[in-house]
Amino acid sequence: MGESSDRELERLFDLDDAAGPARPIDASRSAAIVAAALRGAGFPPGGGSSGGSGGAAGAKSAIATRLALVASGAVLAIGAWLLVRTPAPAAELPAAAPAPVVQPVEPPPPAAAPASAAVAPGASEDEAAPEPPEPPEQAEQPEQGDAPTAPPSPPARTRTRPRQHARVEAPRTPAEAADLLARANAARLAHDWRAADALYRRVARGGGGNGLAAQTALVASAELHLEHLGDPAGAARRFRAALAGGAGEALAEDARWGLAESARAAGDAAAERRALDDFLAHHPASARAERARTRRAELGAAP
Amino acid sequence: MLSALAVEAPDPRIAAAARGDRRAAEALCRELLPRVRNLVRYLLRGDARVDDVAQEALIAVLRGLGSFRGEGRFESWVDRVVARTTFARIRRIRAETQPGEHAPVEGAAGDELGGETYALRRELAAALDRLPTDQRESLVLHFAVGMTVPEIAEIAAAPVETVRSRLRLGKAALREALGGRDGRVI
Repeated sequence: MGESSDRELERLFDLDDAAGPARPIDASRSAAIVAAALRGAGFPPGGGSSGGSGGAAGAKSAIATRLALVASGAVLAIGAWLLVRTPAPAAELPAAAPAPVVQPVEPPPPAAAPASAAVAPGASEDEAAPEPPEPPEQAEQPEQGDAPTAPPSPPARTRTRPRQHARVEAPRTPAEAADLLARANAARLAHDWRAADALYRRVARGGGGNGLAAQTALVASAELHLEHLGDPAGAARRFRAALAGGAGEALAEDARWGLAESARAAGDAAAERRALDDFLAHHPASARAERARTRRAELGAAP
Repeated sequence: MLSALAVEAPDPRIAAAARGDRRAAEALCRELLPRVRNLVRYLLRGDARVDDVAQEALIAVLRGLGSFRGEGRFESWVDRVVARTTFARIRRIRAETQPGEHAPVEGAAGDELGGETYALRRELAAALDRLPTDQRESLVLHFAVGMTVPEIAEIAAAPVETVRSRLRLGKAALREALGGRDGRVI
């Protein structure tokens, strides 16, 4: 094949306009994708110009409107949550999620985790930071996923419960919660997952009186446990707690999706089927719905 | 048009979006979305995940705007970000997919809106869907993104000669798939 055919191929592969090969989508779908990308990149909710007419876009538009009415702390909270819920920054190095960072965190992680759980927080974290009750229908979900999936690390931690309680002191005001969220963001951007998680968990304890900030922080913490701390069971507990705590539409979508991802990460096909069914029942027009259906089909019928 | 602005001088919306201007970012995304979706479709097997990955790619573009220095075309920079994001996703999909299991190869033309170009590109995408992933990636990076062979070798973590070989094989396969019928396409 010579140069002329190469030029033909270049012309054929041209990306200059909308003439394929991606299937055409309508304006509302385009708007929904753009709006979701803006949120995912941490842009504050806009005035509705980017919202789509239905499905995920409608839900996101609704929460954007709601957020516009709450305190600035909640807006910051959403920003924090969006930074966490989206994939790791990919502009320069998108190949994979960064490996969990194993390093001392001040204040230190919880005490009950075994030495081999250096990168996977144990259940003690949940004890240190009580969360809302979990939905009963999820109660049968196995907890053995708490076992760390990451390789053992040197025993570097001797932790005491009094220090944990000092660490998870709840914020007293929305402004304090917003400040904690900003610090959590910074820790996350520095890939200091544990420090970020500790801060999110503090906000999750009431959000300084801002329930939305608390739920947002809870989902953010769950995402960290799922994506970076190798703790799908802990992530699932947090997602369930966020749902039980009355997470708004957009948060609920993330929480339900997170439950499916957590089950998948834990290798629990039955729980993943249930979570996907639940997700599709509640969010059939979500941008993730196609993925959910595909994955659900892969899993097949329950045995 | 974004590309025209980018060739002469950096589009002011790029810097504005990098500073957090939502309007500028939204405008850029709206203009980029068709291009991003097309590139993602060239790289991904099947249509099912295109919008999902395109959304991820746009997030990566927005987050990386601060690192765009105005050297070269903005669209070229975007293409590279999109390609890297898509590769990351492909690797995750590959890790989750059972051996021998592939997304269904979807129809090319005939069921679509759009004209001849669209039909041709659908046919091209369908032909790519039937290629080995390595050949597909090399072809798309070379002909759609405009990467040189050494650049592809770096991103694919493969020797240069291996990439050349993939390109040769891929082009031959495409010629058979597309040009073999009427001898016209390539």
